[in-house]
Amino acid sequence: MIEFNNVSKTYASVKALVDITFKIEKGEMAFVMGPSGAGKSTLLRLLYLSDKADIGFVSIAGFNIATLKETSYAYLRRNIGFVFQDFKLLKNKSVYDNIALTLRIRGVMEREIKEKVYTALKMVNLRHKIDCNPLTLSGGEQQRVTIARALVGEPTVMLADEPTGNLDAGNETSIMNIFKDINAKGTTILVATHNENLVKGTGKRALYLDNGRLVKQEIS
Amino acid sequence: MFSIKLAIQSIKQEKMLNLLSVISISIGLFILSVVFLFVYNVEKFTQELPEKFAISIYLNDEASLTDKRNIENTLNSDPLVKSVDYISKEAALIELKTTLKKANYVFQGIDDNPLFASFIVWLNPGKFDIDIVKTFIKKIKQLKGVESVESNEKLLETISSLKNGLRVTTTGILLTFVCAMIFICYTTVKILFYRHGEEIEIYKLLGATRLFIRIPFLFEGGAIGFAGGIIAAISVMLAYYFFSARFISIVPIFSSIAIPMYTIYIIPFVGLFLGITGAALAIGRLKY
Repeated sequence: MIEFNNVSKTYASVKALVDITFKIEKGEMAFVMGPSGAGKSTLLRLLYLSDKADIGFVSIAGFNIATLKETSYAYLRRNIGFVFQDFKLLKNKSVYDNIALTLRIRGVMEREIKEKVYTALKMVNLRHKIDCNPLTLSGGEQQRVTIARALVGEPTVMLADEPTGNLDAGNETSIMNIFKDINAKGTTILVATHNENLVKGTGKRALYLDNGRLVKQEIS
Repeated sequence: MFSIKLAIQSIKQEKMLNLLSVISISIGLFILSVVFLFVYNVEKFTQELPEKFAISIYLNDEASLTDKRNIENTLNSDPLVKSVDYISKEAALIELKTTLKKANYVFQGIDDNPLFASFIVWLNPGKFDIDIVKTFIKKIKQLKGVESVESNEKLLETISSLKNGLRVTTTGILLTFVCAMIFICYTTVKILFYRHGEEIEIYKLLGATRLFIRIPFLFEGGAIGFAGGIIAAISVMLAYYFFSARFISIVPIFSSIAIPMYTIYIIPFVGLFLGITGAALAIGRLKY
């Protein structure tokens, strides 16, 4: 589902990624671990097409990113769900509208959107906050809205960049449980985090990056 | 539909910026309309000139009947000519005597009729052009039996050069204002695009196409231009009524000033077109 083959990326003279090779199978949940500046975010940026690799082959959801035309980026992104540390929610729109946006962009009918948004909100236990403005929600709730927004598009892959970075321990567990549930339904998930506690005891694979290099892979 | 909704939301969100652009566009369109109406009225006035403009062709005394018929036929067959009146030597003298009734002493001691027979030529309004008129006069002068041709050529030339000068100036003004208004919309849309940068980034991540991201800005540019056009159209009408009420009674020539109503209806659509053009140029130059 996700494949990196001898991928390198350099910014100015800084080597952000060096000769990275790994594969994540369909339906797998994996973690990218490492301290700040290890290259975790760069790796995700290559996957959600915010950047291109200098060398190597990157593929996601069956698309070879190197040969993909810029006009097709939108269609690839519709197969991917994104969850960010800073949530990236629209502050002038309600929870409902934030989640519905994913489907409106795809031209889905409003009636269908309503059903799907309710289902997604139910999954993250936020149905009662449907009309709220994201700014009135706690960090944990905002992150759950972000997950619902990613979920509602029924992605084949979900990418999360430090999804619990701004949350307390209680919310961390809650968010990770939601990810596990989503993964259990067959969605491939890749989570980038520096938090070892998130990974411990999950039984999932963790890829360790250090100075842009993949230094080890192990089941936690 | 969702694109229109996004454009409306953006207009509400960026009230001040949009308001400023609408006001700028309306001022520009108002000036454009006034310039256009000025030129329209000048053109209308000059088109009516032929009805007031006549050419007098004086015949020499040696001109035979055949010469006269030949001249008359030449005049009548010319598309420039609307009508021809013949004034004989005798008729000319009677007319002069009638005109100088109180000063008839000027005719004492004159036994022969010193006046010339003449043709008075009235021109066709549709064919009116200074160069054509000049060629026509030149042609008439060469006809056998013609003593002289009199016309107010200098007035015609002055009007013609004024008209040409006005056309060049107007074209310059129109182009400048059109470019200025497109630039206003271009800049506004570009600013709006950058101000919505965070939102656009989110749309992109959620799979929005280039078109989906750009269409609301086209709507917004069009809406700014259209709103500016409506304000300009209303302002032109108000200015006309104010002008009519204040000045027509003082200067009667102003009563012939006309506003074709279609111009008023067109102004908002000109604004719409300029707005969309400015927006299209702005989003065309932006990355993503």
